Amino acid sequence: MDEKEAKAAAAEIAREQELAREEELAARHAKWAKKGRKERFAAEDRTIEGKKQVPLVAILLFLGAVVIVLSIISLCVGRFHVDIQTTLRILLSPFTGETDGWTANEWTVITTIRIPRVIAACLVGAALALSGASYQGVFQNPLVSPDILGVSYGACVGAALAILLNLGGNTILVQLFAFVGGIITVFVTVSIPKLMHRHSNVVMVLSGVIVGGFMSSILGLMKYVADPDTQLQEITYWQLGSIAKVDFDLLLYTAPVMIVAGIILLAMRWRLNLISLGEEEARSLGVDLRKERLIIIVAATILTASAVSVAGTIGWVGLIIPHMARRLVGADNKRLIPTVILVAMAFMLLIDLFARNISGWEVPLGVLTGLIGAPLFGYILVRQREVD
Amino acid sequence: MTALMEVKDLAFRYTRDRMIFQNVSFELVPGEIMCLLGPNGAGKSTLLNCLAGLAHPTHGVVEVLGKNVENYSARSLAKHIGYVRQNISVTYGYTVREYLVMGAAPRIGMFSSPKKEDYERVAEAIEDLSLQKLADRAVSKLSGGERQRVAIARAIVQNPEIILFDEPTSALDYGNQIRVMRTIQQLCERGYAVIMTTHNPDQPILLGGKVAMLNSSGTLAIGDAEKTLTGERLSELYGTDLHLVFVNEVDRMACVSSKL
Repeated sequence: MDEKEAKAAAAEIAREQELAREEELAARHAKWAKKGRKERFAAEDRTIEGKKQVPLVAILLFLGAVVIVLSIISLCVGRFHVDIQTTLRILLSPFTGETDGWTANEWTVITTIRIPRVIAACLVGAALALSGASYQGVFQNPLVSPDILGVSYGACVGAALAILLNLGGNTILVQLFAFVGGIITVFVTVSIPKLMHRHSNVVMVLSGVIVGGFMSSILGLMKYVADPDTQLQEITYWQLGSIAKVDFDLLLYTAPVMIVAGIILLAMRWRLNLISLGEEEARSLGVDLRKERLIIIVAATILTASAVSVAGTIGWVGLIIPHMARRLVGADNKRLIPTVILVAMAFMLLIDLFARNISGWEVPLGVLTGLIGAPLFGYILVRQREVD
Repeated sequence: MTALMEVKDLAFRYTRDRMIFQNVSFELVPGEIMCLLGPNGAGKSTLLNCLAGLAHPTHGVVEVLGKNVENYSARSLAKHIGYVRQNISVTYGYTVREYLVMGAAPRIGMFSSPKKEDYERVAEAIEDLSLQKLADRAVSKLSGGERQRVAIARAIVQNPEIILFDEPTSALDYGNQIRVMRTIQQLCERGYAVIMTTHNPDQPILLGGKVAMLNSSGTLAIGDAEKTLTGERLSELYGTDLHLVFVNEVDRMACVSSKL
């Protein structure tokens, strides 16, 4: 009997323990269910937050100040030095009504040589970088620019053709020829990856190498047939890239074109974000892709063509400035495009200062941008690989 | 209730002999969900593209609010239909906030940029999907689950009546699959009509609503999930032995396969 009682008691305890365990399990389930319902997405949230962005206005004000300071230095410094007070007095004379206090030479150097040159540096730099950033957005490819796509060379061929036809004196026609050369090049370059059905970034760069190389050869051929006394000199000057011969007359015909195309791209800068998402995404967000892409490509090519008409082919600016600006303000084209314009102006002013002052003779701008741009781009490429 | 979307006898074929889908007809009202089931290559994504006006069906029409989608401009259609793609890839390092505001595109002019109210909508969507901590991070550096949430948040910013999802859960771990489905259910509760493709027959059971079963020879069945889904049909659809069984613990039907 004792044994039986003991067994029963043991069984009782075991049952009680089992019940307790079941109760505990049920409670756990209930608790889990509650938490599970509340949990939603909180479970996988990261602890590291992204960096907050610096307000764009602050960056633009700073860059604007840099551009102004560099412009004033550019006006003062050169083989013929003008001191800063005189420069400022000449600059402000239309407002102050001052008519003397400077020599005739100082007046001439500042107003007819250096002011057009500073304006040209700013415009050409901004035009190349703005078209570079636009091409990068519209082709979803951070490795393209006017020179890499071959557009600069196509525009150069167009401009050289105008010179060969003895139309070199007519700036509007030169620009038009440059634009036609540029737009043909852009479409040929883009169609090669399309025909290959390969949309890798590198294929488009290679396509640009092919088309740009072809255009360079045509340019070489044109130099061969050009009149060595008049036309050849002009074409060679363009090929190297320089703003030494820029005057107000040239700017009068090119600046308005650049400004109009620039304003169009500035207004459409946020569309670049949408287009850069890719064809299907852009379309389902309501982008009229054909129309918008065409407007942007045409405006960017006009900018390149006008820049080439003013200064010839100046490489690398259109590629590296957008990358530098992206480091500063991020990828959003709403912030990027205005920044690109100011960074490019500052960069070109600096390059031009070097070009005029590092030696007794003037170094072609294209040579300097290549010396700085190529290694810088190599660095960017390596860094970007790490980030990707 | 008037139909948001009406699909009439839709068919799509690439070439004369390769039928992708046919006889697809259904209606969708606000708050309704429809799952597209079918094996790989059965044309689920093609059907979604036809519904979004991105592909042109060889037969039949898709009407949104009584008007053929092909007669909409891209912009006005984007006000009615949002499209959440399978895996979003972004070339540039846009932050989540910058990416989300792109959802406002259909309401922003071609020569304009997002304004304060657009960023306010973005802030709401960030709140809705608990994206606060991710808001200033680059989309390209997020995990698959995080990207899916960002894509859903962008659809909320876009605020169309209909949201299309292309395999919203296929790249996600199990927990994220459930959470994304719950979010989709909440979208329906808010009144969005949802059409999604999926490889998981449990999902239409969980979500309720309608189901369309597409296989390579055409369309197997369309209708309410409860009545349309049967073990026989699922077995035929996927060409493998499948069963629908009632599971007491979770108080619902579940699709299970037989032993291997």
